[in-house]
Amino acid sequence: MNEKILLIVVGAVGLVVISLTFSILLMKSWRQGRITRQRRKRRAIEPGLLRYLGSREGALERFIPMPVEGSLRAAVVELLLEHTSILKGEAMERITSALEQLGMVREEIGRLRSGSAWRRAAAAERLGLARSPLAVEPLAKRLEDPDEEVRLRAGRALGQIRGTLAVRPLIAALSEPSRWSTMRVAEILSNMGSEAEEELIRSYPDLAPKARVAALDILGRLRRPGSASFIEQRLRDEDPDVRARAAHALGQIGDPTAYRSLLEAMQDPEWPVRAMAAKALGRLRVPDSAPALALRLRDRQWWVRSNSAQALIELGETGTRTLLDVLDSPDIYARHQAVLMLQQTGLVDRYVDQLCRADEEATLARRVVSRIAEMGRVDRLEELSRVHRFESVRETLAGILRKAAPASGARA
Amino acid sequence: MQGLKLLLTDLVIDFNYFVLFYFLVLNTIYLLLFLVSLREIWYFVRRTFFSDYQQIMQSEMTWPISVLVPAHNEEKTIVQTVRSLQMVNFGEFEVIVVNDGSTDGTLERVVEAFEMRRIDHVYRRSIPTAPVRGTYASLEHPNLLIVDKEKGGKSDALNAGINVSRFPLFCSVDADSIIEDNALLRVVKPFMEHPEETVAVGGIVRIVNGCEVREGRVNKVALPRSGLAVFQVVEYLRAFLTGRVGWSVLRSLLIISGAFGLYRRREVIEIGGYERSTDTEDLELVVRLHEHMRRKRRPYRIVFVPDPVCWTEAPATLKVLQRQRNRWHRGLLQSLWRHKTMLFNPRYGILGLVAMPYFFLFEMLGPFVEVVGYAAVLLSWFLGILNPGFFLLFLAVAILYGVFLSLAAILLEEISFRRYSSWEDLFRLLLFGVLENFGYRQMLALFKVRSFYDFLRGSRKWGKMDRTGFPERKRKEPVIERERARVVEEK
Repeated sequence: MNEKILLIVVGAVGLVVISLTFSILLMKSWRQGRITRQRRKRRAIEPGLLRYLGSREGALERFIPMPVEGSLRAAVVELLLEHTSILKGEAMERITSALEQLGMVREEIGRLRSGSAWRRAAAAERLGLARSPLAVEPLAKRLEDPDEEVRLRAGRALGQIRGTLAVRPLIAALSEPSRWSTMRVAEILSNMGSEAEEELIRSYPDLAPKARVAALDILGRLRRPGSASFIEQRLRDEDPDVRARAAHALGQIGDPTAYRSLLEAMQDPEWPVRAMAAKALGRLRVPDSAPALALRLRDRQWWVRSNSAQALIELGETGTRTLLDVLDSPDIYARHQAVLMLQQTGLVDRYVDQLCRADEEATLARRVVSRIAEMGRVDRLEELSRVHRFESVRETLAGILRKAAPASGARA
Repeated sequence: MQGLKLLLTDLVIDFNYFVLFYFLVLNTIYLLLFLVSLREIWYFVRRTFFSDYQQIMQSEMTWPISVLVPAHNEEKTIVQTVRSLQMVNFGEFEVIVVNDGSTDGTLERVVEAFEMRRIDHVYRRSIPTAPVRGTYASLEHPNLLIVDKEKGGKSDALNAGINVSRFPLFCSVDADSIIEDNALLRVVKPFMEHPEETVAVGGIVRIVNGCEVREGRVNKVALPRSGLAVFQVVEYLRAFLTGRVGWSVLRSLLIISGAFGLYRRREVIEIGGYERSTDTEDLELVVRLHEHMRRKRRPYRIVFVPDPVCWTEAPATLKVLQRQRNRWHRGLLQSLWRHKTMLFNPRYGILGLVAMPYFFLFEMLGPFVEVVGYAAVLLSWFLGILNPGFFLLFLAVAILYGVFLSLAAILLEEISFRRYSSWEDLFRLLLFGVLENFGYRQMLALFKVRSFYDFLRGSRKWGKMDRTGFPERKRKEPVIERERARVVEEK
């Protein structure tokens, strides 16, 4: 009896294994066949299509034999859609016109009403690529779609066609819980320009806290100086995330007049705000911000110290001088951060190069190198004392390191 | 004597019934996992139809990543690995190579190739590690850092990397591995979709042996010539595409491969970083993350994404394979023993009630049962109680089921990622999916049984992995690509 059952099981599993093998082979064979056919068709039409895209006039039928139907038509559509990511201007208009002529736009508009959310999303995506104005109205209707993916795709497509209908629904979508959705909405809105800016500022008070942060991020990415004063006011918001993002956005916009507000933000009780403010000040490159940045090299938080040091480097000559002054700071964190920044930007190597010159620069170099050696931050200096290309520099450096050795033990 | 024979006969018969039951339960679980994976991969392929990775790359809202590369005696591959990492598509990231007391030229190779210089790095030592001898940075490659430290093992090297890392997410990548250009964009996506909950994400690991590698990139995917490596390809497909996808759906993923995983730094520091006292730091870390998050009652997700690919070199000889599998199984034993309180513990949900018991009863004890089963067959024959017909049929079912599982994994690969595009490769995959049931699987079972002994002995041998490096070849630019480039240029 047991053997009978087992025999049945063997037969069943064997059958499954054989069918599985055949399914895999058939699937591959079908796919390969399809690809080969598509390639053949593409090879036949691609030269004509490329000539069509490359020329300024002439309808599609002048370049490829019309009417195209079935799989040949599908190949033409796919080829045209592929080129949407690399072409713009007149060539893009020719793609749109060809896709309309081939009936692709009409077909995809029909698919926007499909029962399958995935099909609706795919249709919206393809309509966005086609950039046909005919699709604006149907896509706008999809902004109310029950499926989030379809809404986002429709919004993105509208953004690609430069329709402004999507701005409000997209701003509302900033409140979706997923950061992924927020990112995608932010990307779409960032490409919409002034319409998005005005609407973001107008609807800002009604937005949820998370959406406000995203809105500030988008305003920063839009880089429109007109919104700087609105963003500056957000530096006094109750929510530290909002304040931090506002500081970041001001850095992105790069309006130097915002630097005083950012200096105030450097005193913020929350470290992410101070870190973002320091980063933004580096982007604004206002030399007057150097003392405030130097002070923040003593901050308790690593990110604030790191961003401040980086910002000082961004300030150029003034920032470098400030970093050198920090080498005499009583604060060990500030000193170490300054040394790290001087090393990472290659300035320490430059000072070592100047050690044996007979001018004022050599005096400064000797002072800086000795100070770093006394602090015990000697990893790079020791390496240079072994590998520097000039023997005189190696000897001088070795002398400085020997002299500083006892001091470094006591002071680092 | 007769009494002993009767007792043995009873024991063998009981054991045979146990094996039958064990076999049924195990294969039912495999089947369910396959079905869950099939559904998930189907859904995943549809979901990723649109590649929005450009948005992830460009957005300032994407969390930056610190890529950690622990390296011990990796002079053959380290430069290519770093070069491939430098070329990945991602917005903001840093690469931190941790030289864990190498005795070959690992450090020198990287320092020379990327013009690194020593710096006095400033960082917080959140996790204790073996002493750091120095850090190196480069003016040419500002996002590259080397930490040179005394030998402390892979876990220790990763902990040193975590200490030095700056970003909220860190990605561990093996020094003998190559990650694909979009791998970071793909693996970070779950963090963007569920930013509050996601603490770890694993990607798929594939075998690079046989592939053509050019300038740190896998240029052409092909199966290796060596049969041993092809067996491993089939095995990896089964483990990743059916096993990990399935467990991930059930929110019970117990392992993220050390070769490629992305973690939230904060949670890893909270649990004290990688554990140094186990042989499989990747498994142990994930189990501890589960344990920590459940204990703190914080909602969390540890997921596997089948798309981001990491290519790694598989053992090319039996000796190295044995060492590798011995260590893996020993690590499993260590982690399950260490976290035995999670077993059948309802506090851990499906993880405690299904995944942990599965790993304990089937992954850990499975090889033992298998080997004892073979011995029982011999004993049955010796005792004269072997029913040859039944035995052969049972063997046929077991083999056919093994073949089914391998073919199912190949099917999943064919409906989703189709990395092995040639007919020859597909036929070889199918063939080796069958052949692995005749010797290879049994050999792995023996390796694992041996690891029980090593575990009880307290052996902590890592085992030397002999590297051959990545094979390189030149590539011709297709004509149509040139034509397309010309049109774009003219525009």
